[in-house]
Amino acid sequence: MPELSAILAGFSDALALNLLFVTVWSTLLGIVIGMLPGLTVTMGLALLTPLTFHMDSATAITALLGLYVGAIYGGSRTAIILNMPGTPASAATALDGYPLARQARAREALALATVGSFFGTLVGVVLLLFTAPILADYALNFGSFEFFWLAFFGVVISGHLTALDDPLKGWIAGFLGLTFAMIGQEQVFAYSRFSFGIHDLTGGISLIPAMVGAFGLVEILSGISSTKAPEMSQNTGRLLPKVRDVVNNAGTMARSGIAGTVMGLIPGVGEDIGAWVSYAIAKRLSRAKELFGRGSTEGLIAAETGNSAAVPGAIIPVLTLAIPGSAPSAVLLAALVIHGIQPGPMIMIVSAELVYGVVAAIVLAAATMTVAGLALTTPLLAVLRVPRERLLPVIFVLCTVGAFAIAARPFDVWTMLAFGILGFVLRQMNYPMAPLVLGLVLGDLLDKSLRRGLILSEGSVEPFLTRPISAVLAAATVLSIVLLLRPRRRKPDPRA
Amino acid sequence: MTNGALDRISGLVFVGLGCLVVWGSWLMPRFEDQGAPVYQAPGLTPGLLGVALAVSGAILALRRGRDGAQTTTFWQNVFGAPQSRRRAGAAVVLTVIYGAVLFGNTPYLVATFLFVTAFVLVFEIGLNSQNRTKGVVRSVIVAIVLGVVTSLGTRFLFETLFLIQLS
Repeated sequence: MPELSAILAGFSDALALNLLFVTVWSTLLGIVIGMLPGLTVTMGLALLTPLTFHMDSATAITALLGLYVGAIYGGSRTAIILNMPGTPASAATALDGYPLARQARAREALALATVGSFFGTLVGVVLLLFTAPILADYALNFGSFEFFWLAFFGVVISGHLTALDDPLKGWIAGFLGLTFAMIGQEQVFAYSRFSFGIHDLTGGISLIPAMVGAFGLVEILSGISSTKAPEMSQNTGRLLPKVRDVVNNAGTMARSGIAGTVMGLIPGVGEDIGAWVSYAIAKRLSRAKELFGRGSTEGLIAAETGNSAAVPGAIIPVLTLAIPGSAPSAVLLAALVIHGIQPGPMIMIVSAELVYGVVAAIVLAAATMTVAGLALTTPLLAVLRVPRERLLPVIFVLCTVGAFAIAARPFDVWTMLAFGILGFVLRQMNYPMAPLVLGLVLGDLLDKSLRRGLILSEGSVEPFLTRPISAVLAAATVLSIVLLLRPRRRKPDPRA
Repeated sequence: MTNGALDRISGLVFVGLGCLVVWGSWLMPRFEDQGAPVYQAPGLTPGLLGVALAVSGAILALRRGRDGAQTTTFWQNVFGAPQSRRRAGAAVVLTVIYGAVLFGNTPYLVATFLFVTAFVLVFEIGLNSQNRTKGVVRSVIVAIVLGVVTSLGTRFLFETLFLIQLS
């Protein structure tokens, strides 16, 4: 059980004026980043990380969390007004948000999405508070065998869930990411693998430039190659949601909050799937199924609650297992390490105050997001009027400088370009990016755990299959792969 | 070319890549002379991943086609209509010239000004789908102003506020 005094201490620290100021600007920046099609949460976090180098760790983490929370929410603005999700996590929001906007209820939809996001974040935070200590305690029993399966299962399940139409492509993307992670010096003999005598490759591929490429440049190329300009709805209707609508949807918010958090918890799955799963559950349990896809407030709230709840959900494995629950949380994990924080099973013993600080920062970011979302929606929407031909080159300059700023070496800019172009080609062929990035993050853990495990068992694979947690993870991984062998069904149209 | 054919091509590429990874892993030293058993070899994990990549690629390449007779070219399938292709191609060329050639080799302000200005001009005038005759001068002015503001603004942000040396 989390101690109330420790939670209050976390809030007391987060309410210090300097941190409060950081929360406000980073959340607002996040909302703008989330709103702009072509800018993703992952890219925003990857670009902000080098700018936090000169900050102390508390300020840096507050800024990154504010941006994360704000950006996931910000995507809903564009989804509702333009029918174009600002971030992939808001794709489900557009299904009912845009029809509501076309019915001259845009402001109401924006406000309902805000309320859903706020409650989703709160549900996720409560679950984070209660599950993080339990998971960290449980993970203290994990050894190399369990971490090997956790890394492998993470890539497989991420590949499966982010490419529901064709999980094989998700797995290939994951294996590709794991293979890229093999580049550079390994830890047993310090042998430099696949570096071909190139000095810069001996240190391996830096995660943040790769992510800026895979999520930033890919979005720029996709955005600029499209010839279709989005049609903007009128921002009209009530500014505040009806209390009755909020009360009537309390059950939907609670369910979606839990579903979103659970989806966030699963390695590499994250906010997008959190929104879709919450939407699907809400539709299945709704008395007005026919309204889904035609302007259902219930569907809108479910999607927004789900993606926002996935944010704290994705942070749970980051803190307790050092395994990211989503692509943006992979950047957060890298940033924590850069700032000298070592997440993992020891977190509640070594730095429990960090967990409570994270909880407080997320809650304050959610509060800022709610106030800003309700009060500043109209001025913030003005940013959507900037033509992409003028916005995207500026974004690319930030991508380039952001990649360079990590270690001040041009090689990282080339990495960003290579991952961007490769990612663009793969995305055009329907390969998802999230498993590729998760593979890049988890490759080192997979390699280290496999070889350490084999050293401990003197070459026997038996403990990988017989230790209880390993056996469960192995079975889940095999089951996930075997499911592919079932006859494929077409993905149902969510509007149907 | 159908999507199934495109999957076959990408599947074969992954088979090839997987085989190369296995081959590269096999050639890595095993440190047996230092008494290391085979399961400590640096090539173990990449070798297994190479196998996984090759097998997945083979399944993708060999599975049955999933769609009907859709006859489009490879490039159309991957990059869409000719207009989209041109735009994507131009963006790749511009970003590579800036990131790999200009950035770090020419002063930051000059490189960034050239990139931003060229980008706006190419996409607002050169590759605009609507045949614009009006507003060209406006686009040129916007491109130049944006180039100046972006280069000065980002240099101020990174060098002055965040102490990151750019040039």
